[in-house]
Amino acid sequence: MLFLAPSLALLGLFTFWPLVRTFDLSLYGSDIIGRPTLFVGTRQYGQLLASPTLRDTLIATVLFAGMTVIPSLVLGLVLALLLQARIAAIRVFRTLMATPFAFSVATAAVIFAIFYNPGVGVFNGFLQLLHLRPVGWLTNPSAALPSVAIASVWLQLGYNVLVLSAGLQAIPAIYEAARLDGARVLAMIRHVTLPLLTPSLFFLLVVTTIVSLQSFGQIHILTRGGPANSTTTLVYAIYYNSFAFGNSNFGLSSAMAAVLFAIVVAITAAQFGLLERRVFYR
Amino acid sequence: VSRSIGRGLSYLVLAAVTFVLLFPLLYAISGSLMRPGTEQVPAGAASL
Repeated sequence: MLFLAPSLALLGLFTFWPLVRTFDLSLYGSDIIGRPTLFVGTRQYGQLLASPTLRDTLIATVLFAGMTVIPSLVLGLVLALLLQARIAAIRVFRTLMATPFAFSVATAAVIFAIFYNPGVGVFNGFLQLLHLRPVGWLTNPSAALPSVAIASVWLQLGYNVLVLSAGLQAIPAIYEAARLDGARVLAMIRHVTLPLLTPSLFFLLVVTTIVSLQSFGQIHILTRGGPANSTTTLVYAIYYNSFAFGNSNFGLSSAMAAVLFAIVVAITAAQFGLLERRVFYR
Repeated sequence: VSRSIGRGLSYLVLAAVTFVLLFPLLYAISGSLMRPGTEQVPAGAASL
């Protein structure tokens, strides 16, 4: 216990205390500069649930998570499988493909902001080459959320490739036995690789879901929650109510943070409850 | 011969995928080498 004390103290101070304080703040109203003033109980939760914008915010949050998690897992798996090729320079390719992991969210978001520029951006340049109409990637409400998700997928891909490559390396050499049994490449991927890779896939599913639900930097830099609130996820709504335009509504934001915490816990618990039994731990 | 072709194809596919994946990085590096104010902005660039 004595040896655990420093870690417990740090965890308590920087993780558990802010969590407790968030729940505490959600029970208080705030004055104009954000100080907790009047105890309002669960009234802010009621206000939040009655808010017409909460539904849109939750839909944007779930859509964004879906558009980030599934493509980053599928593409990560495809790239990790490609990296199993037995060629001389494979280590160079492995290193290069993991590079996006080293990017900060801010840097990646700025680069993608340039790509999405309606006039001089790369994406509209490609569309122009194909004689297609330019797209308002970040200005069209129906295109903005997928555009931000593309930047997030790119950021997440390096980490997924790294973890799945490590998972593939750890698979025992039973390919030879499968090959002798007459299994083809696709059959081997389906019946040998994927079942043995489920621990890595499950880990990535849980982690990328949590990361996508907590995404903030790319939304703030690319769209600031717009256009027409189409990219306002729950995390961005928390920021908006607390800090944007001097809103200082820390009580309502804390209630939102508590709701986000409950959603993250519920989704993670559901993933463990529904999918963990299908994970093949060796 | 077929093994050499397969290896060559593997290199080709991996190089193409790596190029696409690292395109944002390459674009950022090439952009950092440009002198400001020398880009050719197409007419009507800000109209969208």
